[in-house]
Amino acid sequence: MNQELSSGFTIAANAPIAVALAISALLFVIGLVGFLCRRNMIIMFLCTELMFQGAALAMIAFARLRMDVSGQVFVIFILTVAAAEAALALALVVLLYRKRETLSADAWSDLGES
Amino acid sequence: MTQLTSIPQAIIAPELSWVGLALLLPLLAAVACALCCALRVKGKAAAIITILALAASFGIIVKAYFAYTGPVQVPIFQWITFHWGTGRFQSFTANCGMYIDTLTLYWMLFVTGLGTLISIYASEYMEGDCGAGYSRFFFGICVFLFSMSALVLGDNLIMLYLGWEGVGLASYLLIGYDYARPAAVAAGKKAFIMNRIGDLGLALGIFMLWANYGTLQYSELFAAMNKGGQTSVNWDLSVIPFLLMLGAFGKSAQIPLFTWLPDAMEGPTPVSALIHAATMVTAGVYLIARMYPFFELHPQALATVAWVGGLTALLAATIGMAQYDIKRVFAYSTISQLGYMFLGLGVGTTFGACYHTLTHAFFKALLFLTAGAIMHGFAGQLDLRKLSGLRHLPGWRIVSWTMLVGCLWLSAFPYTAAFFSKDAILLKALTSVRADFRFLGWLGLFTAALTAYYTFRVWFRVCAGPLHFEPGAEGHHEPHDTHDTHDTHGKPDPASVAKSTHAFHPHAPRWAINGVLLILALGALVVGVPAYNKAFAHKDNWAQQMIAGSSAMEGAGLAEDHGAEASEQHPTVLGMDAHTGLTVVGCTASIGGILVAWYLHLRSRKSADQLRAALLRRWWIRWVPICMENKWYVDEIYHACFRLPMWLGAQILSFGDRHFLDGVMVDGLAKIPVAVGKVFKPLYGGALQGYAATMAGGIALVVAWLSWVWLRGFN
Amino acid sequence: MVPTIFYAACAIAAAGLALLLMQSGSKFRMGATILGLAGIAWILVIVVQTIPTPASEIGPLGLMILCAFVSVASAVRVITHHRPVFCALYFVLVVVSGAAIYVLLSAEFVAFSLVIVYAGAILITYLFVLMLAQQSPADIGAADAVDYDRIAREPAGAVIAGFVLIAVLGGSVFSVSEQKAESILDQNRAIRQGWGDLSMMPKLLLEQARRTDSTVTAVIARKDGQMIAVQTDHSAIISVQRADQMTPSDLTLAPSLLPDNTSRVGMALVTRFPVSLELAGIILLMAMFGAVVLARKQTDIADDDRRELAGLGKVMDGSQSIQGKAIR
Repeated sequence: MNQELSSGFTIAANAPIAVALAISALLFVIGLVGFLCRRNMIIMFLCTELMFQGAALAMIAFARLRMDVSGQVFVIFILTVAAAEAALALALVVLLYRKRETLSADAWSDLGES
Repeated sequence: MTQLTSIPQAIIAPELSWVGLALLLPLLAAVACALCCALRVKGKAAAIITILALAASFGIIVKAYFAYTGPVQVPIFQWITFHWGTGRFQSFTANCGMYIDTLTLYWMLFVTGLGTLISIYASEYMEGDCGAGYSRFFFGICVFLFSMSALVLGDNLIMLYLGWEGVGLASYLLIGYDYARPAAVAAGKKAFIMNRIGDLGLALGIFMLWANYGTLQYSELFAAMNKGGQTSVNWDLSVIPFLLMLGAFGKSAQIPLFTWLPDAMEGPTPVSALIHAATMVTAGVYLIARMYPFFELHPQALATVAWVGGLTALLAATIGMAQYDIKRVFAYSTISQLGYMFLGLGVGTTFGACYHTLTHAFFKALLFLTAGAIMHGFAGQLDLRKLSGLRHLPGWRIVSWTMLVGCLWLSAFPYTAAFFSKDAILLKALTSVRADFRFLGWLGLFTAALTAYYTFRVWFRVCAGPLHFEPGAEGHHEPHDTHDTHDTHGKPDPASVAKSTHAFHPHAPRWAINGVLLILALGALVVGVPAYNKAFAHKDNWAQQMIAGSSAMEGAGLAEDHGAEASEQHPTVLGMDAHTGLTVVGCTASIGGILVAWYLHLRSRKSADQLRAALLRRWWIRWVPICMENKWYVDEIYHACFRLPMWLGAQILSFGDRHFLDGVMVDGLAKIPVAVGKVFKPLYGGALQGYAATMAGGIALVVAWLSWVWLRGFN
Repeated sequence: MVPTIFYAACAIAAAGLALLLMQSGSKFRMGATILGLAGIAWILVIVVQTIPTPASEIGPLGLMILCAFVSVASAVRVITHHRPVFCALYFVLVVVSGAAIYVLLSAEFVAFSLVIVYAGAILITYLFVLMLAQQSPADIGAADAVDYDRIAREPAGAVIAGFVLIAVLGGSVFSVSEQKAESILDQNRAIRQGWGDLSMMPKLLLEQARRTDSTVTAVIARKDGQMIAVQTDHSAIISVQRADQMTPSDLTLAPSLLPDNTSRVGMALVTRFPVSLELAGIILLMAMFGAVVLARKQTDIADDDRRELAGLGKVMDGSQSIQGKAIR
């Protein structure tokens, strides 16, 4: 492991790739913070989409680093999954909204312990 | 210590294996009785099987006696044999075999004989329990006889131990025969546990014997002793006799392990007669007699035996003087007479001890069986304050007169067989070189006087005087015409008048009981014949010769009739020649005791009560009757010393178990997950984002640890 | 790069974000914004400093930094705006700037598909639903929005969790001592793969050959059975049939004739990831089914509510039973 890390571990061959990686991390973390903080259910899902963005950007950056197109192919699949998930999630959110007439996530804590 | 004379060497005689039938027949009878019990056979089939088997065993022993030519060792089958090397201490052999010498035959004769007779007696005595109980009783008897035979006939100490434990088991089973009564069950347990305490000593003694001699076979042990059996300074050799005697004390009810025997009277009377008077309790005597050469290994071993025996004799006699239950009186007298036997062994006359065993077996069995007949006939009444003048009742004469025979023998009335046997023991004690043995001899004489007193207290109370009886607790009252319970002598007793309106009819014994009583009385006469031969006809004493031909020869005293090593001085007792002096003093003791009993319990019975009241009034003597009536509080002392601390310890441990082990450790451990859960409960508020926040925090921590700790190790 | 400085930059950015989250519509906003932006700028500066950049690449780098800035700022606005529709619109901006970054990283196809699918389809759906479930009227200020849009839930803990992640990961990732130049091996492999992809597209191969030399009539396999032989200077040699020759001869294709990114992605999808492609299709099919099912139930429930209000029984009891069972 020592060998691999010190000799074969190239993080960023040039600056743009490094910046892209940093941005992907920031996007992911901002999405995480937003998911934890916002109480509007739809905006919570939007923040998960932001996390997807971060992950996708990291994929692209590494595809560029390794000159391999597989990363980009994977981003296409991420897109697919995000679309499917967004459709179903929004349908469920609408159903929940109709039950309680509010988009607040605090309305749904029936499964709590206390 | 004198140099040991050589113990006769046993030859191996496989052609005598038919003697093993004496072992096998009781075992088969036990199986048959168990079958009877399982098949719920009604009727006396179990008794018949037992009587036939035991009679056959007796016949075989008699045949073996007449075929005897010398000590033999008869192998039967290979039982325990294994070796892990080829040296002397690298094998362990305990095969099933028989060691037959004169001591064996002597013992087996009265064991099987009395077993047969008492089985005949019990076939009538126990007839009220026909059915499963009857068969169970005889199963116990057969198990007992098998174990006793194994104990006596066995050729190694492991077979002796097997028999030892077997008789203990049979005793427990038979004492607790009436298992519905808690008193009987408790008595059975007490007997077994006290025996076990003694058995520990026996077991350790066997271990030490093996550790020092490498073998447990009698023939090899005696051979080793023949070669060089002197007193040893090694602790592991010299502790052997003390361990063995502990076992003997347990089984034969000596101090300190004697309190089980009076309680064992809760069992049926045939059991008391057979086991706790005649045979099982003599196993201790047999053990010491058989291993007598090994008791020379420590100079004080035999002295200890003598002291324990002497003190037990005195203690039991004092207690027996103050008991009211006939069987209890006889039980204490058994303990007392066993004390005499141990005294005899200790002072060095194995002949005296073994001869006293034989005579005691007969008259004590006789006495117990008469007590049993009374109990059987009077619905369990055994209180001698409530029975009187039974010899006047028709149908009870045989019981009364045979009881008189037994009492005379027990009191060592002049020129009875027991007189001679007790004489042999006391002679050796009084003429010993040791001063403490002489003191024990005088103590024994005093005890003999007490024995005569309490024995005839029973007879004069129960069989003589005005006719009066009250039924015991087990009676079922039948409507009868009123029976005249008064006599022309005394005033009618108000209580018996009240009882007579219920018309209790005593149940007189029939031929089985009467016949056995007569045979035993006859036997008590017969066992005196060797002594008569010796005393009057100057022929050899048969019993003495039997003992002399065995491993107990050292105390047989054939060489010297006056005991001790040859001394210039002829030993004297009270200034007279030893024999004469002892005869005089012995007669005095015995007859004096009888006269005192006659006065206090026949001539003026009120004077007994007045004497007791007078003793109780004086503060400086009142402790004597109180302690005697309360058995010197030995049971209470044991309770306080052993049972109470154990009970306290059990309470403490139980408390600890409940509150510490259960409460703290088990329940406490169970409460930990609950408490932990309560700590983490707020995390599960039900809000989605709360869970997500926990997840994110967790991921952050894990990533931090990975980067800062784990990966650092690689750079 | 010293990790501590990176942690400090992250901390500043975190503080800014937290402050932005906590107060909506107060005077702190300006200061918090500046704080946050300063923190992010510092992070980027640190990251750029880890790699020496030759002068010729300053241009693309500057463009990249600009797009990055826009992206992150929009993302922050997504999570801090008090009106959901504006959050979605800022998300569109994130997507568009993200696409620009993709282009700079030579992933054109994915960039455009991102714009079309994400911004064009997914976010439109979000906007539809947001407008459907809107609870506040359109023209209200920050102070009058619904409480669940206005007040964040425990921003401090979330921010700490998030920025611990970034600090640790960034600190360890960007502090690796050796940063090599672009790996030659990777590049060679990529070139070879590209020529290999081209060799599987016969029509395009012919077209490229004709672009080089217009007398080419056909491309045939070489003597060793392969279509293309890659040279060390990244050009390829193919065996072609020229119009004026009888025997095949070699033709050198310049590296600029490599297939472009779209073709490469397409080839990869079809040759190397066919199963995933099919599965993606099935996932979309399932999503469609799920949406139909959920929508249908929605109708039933709405009908039940109306009927209940009118005093009638439920729809699910009698006539709709077949449909009800089919749902389950």
